Amino acid sequence: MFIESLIDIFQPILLLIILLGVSLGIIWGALPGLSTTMAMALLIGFTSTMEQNIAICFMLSVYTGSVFGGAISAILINIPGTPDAVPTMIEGHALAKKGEAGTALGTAIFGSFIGNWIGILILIFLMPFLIAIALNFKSWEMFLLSIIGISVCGTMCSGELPIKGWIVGWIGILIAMVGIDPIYGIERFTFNNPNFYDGFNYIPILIGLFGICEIVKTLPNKNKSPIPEKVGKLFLPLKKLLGYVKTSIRSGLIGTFIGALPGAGANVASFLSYDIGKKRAKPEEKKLWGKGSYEAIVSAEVANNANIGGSILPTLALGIPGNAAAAALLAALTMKNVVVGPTIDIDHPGLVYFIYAVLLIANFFMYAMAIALVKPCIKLFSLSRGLLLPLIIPVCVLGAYAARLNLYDLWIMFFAGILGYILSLCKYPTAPIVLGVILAPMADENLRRSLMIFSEKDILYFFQQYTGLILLLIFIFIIFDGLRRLKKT
Amino acid sequence: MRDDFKKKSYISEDEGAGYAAPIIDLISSSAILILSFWIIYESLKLKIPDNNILTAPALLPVIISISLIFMTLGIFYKSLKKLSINKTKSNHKETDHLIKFICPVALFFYIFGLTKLKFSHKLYFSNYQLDFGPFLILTIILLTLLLYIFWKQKLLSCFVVSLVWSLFLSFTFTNFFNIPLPGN
Repeated sequence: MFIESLIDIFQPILLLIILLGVSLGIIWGALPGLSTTMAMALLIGFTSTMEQNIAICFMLSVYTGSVFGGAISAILINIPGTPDAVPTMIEGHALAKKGEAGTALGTAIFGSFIGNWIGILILIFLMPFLIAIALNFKSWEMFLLSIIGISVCGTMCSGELPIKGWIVGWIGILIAMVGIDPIYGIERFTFNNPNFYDGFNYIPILIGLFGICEIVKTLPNKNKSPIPEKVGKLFLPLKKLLGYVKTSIRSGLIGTFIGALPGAGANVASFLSYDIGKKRAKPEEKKLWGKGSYEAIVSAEVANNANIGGSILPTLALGIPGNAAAAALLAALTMKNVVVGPTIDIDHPGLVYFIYAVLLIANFFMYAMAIALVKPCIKLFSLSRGLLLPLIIPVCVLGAYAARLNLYDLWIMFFAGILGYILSLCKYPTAPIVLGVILAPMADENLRRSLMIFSEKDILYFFQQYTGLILLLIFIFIIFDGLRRLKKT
Repeated sequence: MRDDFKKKSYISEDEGAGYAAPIIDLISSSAILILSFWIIYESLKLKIPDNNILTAPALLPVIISISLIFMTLGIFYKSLKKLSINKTKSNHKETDHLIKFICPVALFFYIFGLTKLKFSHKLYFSNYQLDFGPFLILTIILLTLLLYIFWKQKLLSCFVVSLVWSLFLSFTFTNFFNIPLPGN
């Protein structure tokens, strides 16, 4: 099946879309202030009229390209294009100041390529196991899984104060409660407004939180950085790169594992891998960390790219997005009537293999296009934010409108953007809201269904749900760990 | 950002998340508390089909709101404690607030116009069409305004960029993505 999908992908139109997507992703990621999530959120609208395979190729290739793209501006102008490129910025820009910008970029490209490979291989290896486990989940387990997803996302998004992440995740659940109740058909919080009957679509919410909010936040900033004139050669000697095999494997595993946790994305992956890499580095290499270390760049870049494969794992197998970018991917798949979750292989045979194939091809294109686009990207850095960001506003509007062709969605996008801006002023994370909105219907239906089953059985039945008990313990642990952090800080 | 990274004890995905100024935490937690009580009040007004509370549509909203109250009380208490310690300190910074409001306000009127105005005039170029409707006109106005304020170039340059970009979006969305434009 995988070989068939790989052959399927060798159609000129699909290859062209992947090439375009990867190039767009690299350029988008390289531009400071434009994040991977923002790119993914905006592109959902573009894919609404695309054929399913083309839409998947486009979204996945933009995802692959934009995660790497952040490294270009991080190394060259000391501004991370995406937040996960901060460790790369620390090391890469130090190297750039020594005149080694080209080799630093070459190392980042190599790290990203290896990271993607590790993420994809782990995704291919673990997917059948996760699906097999998830197929045994009943209502109670599905409810717990969705609540755990939102809680972990909350914890991961606001490390020192998880309670703030949970609060916004819970607010996301409440937002999703608006509309007609799916079990009894009763109106919930609609206030007799017909626009509320269908509830709030999460695509305009996603675009509002990650598009409009970022524009409103970043547009008034006046920072500008010096742009280097020369980059130099892009490649490190192969012998030196081979010396980073151990670091690559460790960082790849960290990146993929972190990616699979809901809410934890490339940001956590690259920081954690960088931190662990520093502790594990040889004494002579350790001295270079913070002053320009190639191994540190490998640590960060392998991890944030391996994160892509990791984040797709729970998205496809459980229907729980690994991060906000994966949530956008989920939204695009939902628009194409793809039902993700444990039955994905039954409902859409071959789709999972097609996704693997796209990721593999996109990775090769990413390597080639990264080398080709580094120099043109330098010219793009001279464009002001004051020019770029306003131009994105109509794209946000069209993206939000295209999802349902409903003008009311423009208001949802606007208010989601303003809510995101207010939350960021109050130092609340925004990603858990999206996860709350996406997972709330699953939590609501499954909680009520499981309680109905429990009410008909005796108490022993509850304790015989062993998977449910394990998940309940995990949930309790997450809450206690969060409260411990609150006490500590 | 570099220094923030070194100082942080927990790595998080959203680098801006964490403790805000105590007064901001106090206000935000109070607002969430009010919201939670209001949701409980509204939930209690919902019907309970079959008189079975376990399957009632209000069940999850009530559970979520109650837990929100407990969580928000945690932030409220912490910020109250911090407020009493930092009473003498003032972190107030004078910033240009007006410029921060321009974008949201302009966006509000832009969306208001898109949702209220309805007209369309189509121009045909062989198989392709260009829609002259609220989207095209309002986008040119909004972009010219924002570019003039934030890009700080001559009004004519801002207008030309806005015009070219708006025409490009209108044309590609209508002809290549087959997506109708809002308001048309």
